[in-house]
Amino acid sequence: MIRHPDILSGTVLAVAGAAVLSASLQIDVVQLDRGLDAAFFPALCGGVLAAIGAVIAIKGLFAARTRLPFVADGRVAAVAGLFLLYFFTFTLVDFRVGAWAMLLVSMLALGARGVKELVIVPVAVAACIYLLFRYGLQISVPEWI
Amino acid sequence: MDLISGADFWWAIEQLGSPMGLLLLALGVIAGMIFGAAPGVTATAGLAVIAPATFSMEFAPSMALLLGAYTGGYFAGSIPAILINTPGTPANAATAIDGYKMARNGHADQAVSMAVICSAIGGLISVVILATLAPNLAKVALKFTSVEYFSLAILGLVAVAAVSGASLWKGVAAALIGMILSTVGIDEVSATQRFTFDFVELLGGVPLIPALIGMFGITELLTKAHESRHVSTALPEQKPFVLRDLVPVYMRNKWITVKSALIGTVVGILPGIGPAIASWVSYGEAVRASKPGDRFGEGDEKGVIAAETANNAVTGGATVPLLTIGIPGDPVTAVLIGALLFQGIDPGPFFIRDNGEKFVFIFLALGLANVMMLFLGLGSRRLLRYIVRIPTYTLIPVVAILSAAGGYAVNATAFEVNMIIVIGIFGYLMLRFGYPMAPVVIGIVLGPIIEENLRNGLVANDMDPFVFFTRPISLGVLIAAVILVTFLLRRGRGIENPS
Repeated sequence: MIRHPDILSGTVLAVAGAAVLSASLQIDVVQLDRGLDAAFFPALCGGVLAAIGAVIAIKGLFAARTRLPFVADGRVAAVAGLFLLYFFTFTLVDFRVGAWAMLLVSMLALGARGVKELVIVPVAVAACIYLLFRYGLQISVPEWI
Repeated sequence: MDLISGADFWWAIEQLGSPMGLLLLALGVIAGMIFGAAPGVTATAGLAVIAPATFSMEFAPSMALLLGAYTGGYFAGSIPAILINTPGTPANAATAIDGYKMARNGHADQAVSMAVICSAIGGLISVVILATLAPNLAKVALKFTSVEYFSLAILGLVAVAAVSGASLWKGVAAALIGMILSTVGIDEVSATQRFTFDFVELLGGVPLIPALIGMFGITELLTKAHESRHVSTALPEQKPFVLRDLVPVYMRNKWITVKSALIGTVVGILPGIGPAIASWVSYGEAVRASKPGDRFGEGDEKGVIAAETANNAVTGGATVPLLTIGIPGDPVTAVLIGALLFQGIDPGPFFIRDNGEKFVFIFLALGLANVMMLFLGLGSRRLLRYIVRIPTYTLIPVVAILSAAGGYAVNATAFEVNMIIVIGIFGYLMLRFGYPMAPVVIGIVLGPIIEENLRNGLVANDMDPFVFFTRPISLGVLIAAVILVTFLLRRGRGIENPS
């Protein structure tokens, strides 16, 4: 069991920073007569991030024992899963259908139980947003028809 | 050399005075108020979601909508702060201290009315200062070299890292993450591809608006999904109130109002800091200067006046560094940078010189937005409380849908939409572990400025790294950064992320 969340986050940052530093050093740079090449700045940022991540992790080692922070319960996991599904299928589904389905399923997942609300709100809100984007703002959205 | 001419004023007045200009400004104020008042959605998230809607517009209507939302959003966060002790944005946390107590004492309508009026006064004073200061500062900024710009960008980055969370180390780490993200794409000097992973869509870099929507919109929605689904707005019986009762209130508190507006404007001018610090500094100053009989923390009107005047005064102040040196004054102006870049306009030292009419438009629009907010806010203050009652189970999916549609509006491809949710989930995890979002955003915006000016500064000075410490203005700015960080750390962190 990790004794402090900063140990975990700091370690992740240190590893990420080191990865950025390593990747930067492998960038196929054009050698310039003067000035800094394209790898310098990301390598600098990666190196400093790795160092700061290490500092955060070490501070966590000496801090009082603390539980890992709350990340997700059933509700948050359900919402995150719905978001992932909706966003990754956004361009594949007609916007009107997708927005209606997203609203209906999300409202159910988040605790809405009124029948009238579940029937009216998804249809009305999806229609309003579609009309706003499509005709009000002249912004195209995915459509089947 | 005068940077602004009479023709610039006429153009701006003609654009702003057109029916479409006025309508979009009003719609922006209303949209900002709705986003600001809705608990769980901040003004920054609102602007990030609204910004893609402006991509099909010309400069004037686009800016009218965004500046209206900017102005309305910062005020409207005071509504949930006063009614349910839940600040709509971190900038309204100080308002909640006395505002909620006023509501509990039966003076909710008075508190909300004061918040509107104070916000308008603060905003208008800051716009006047913007109009007089920015052109003069731009003339000075034209003489800056890459060395000075590098130091100013560092100042902005360090300042926002220091104030945005409970840990300076985590704030700096967040800023570095933003700067690393800013290196994605083609290097402008050598045309080398960096971290594109063969994605054609990344050749131009991480798109700013989708990144903002993910970092501010999605993270807040996921956070809100965990919180209570029911918002209790039950208040005791409210005492009758008419607006003219506020006249003596403002007469006896006029100096606090002016002082708070000046504090907000000055804090707004400092790059990267934002309204949360402004409202706390102003509130703290009001408490420090309190007299016997003042009841700060128990529903004292001075608490609401000090906090709300300062946080809206940031709007004009934060636009100063944006339009003179191209550095955002707060995370919201980072959104404005994205919108300006999409219009083909590069904010920075040449902005006022090359686009005088657009500068005049911006400060006139900000001023008029504050006037509209005053009338719309006072007229609709009894309706705004219903926004606070919007159920979370409706609000969350609606904002998610708007976010996805907004991301799609950038390029009509799935890439930006997918990026929003990936960045959003990553940002949510960062927030859970105590890493703030604001420095990431500022890092993305300032990263290219820092890199470009670091390279140019070194090339122009024979690769001498000490030039940043030997040139007096640069040294002064770096020392100011150290002093600012020390001052802010001593006053207490945890403004944006009190947990």
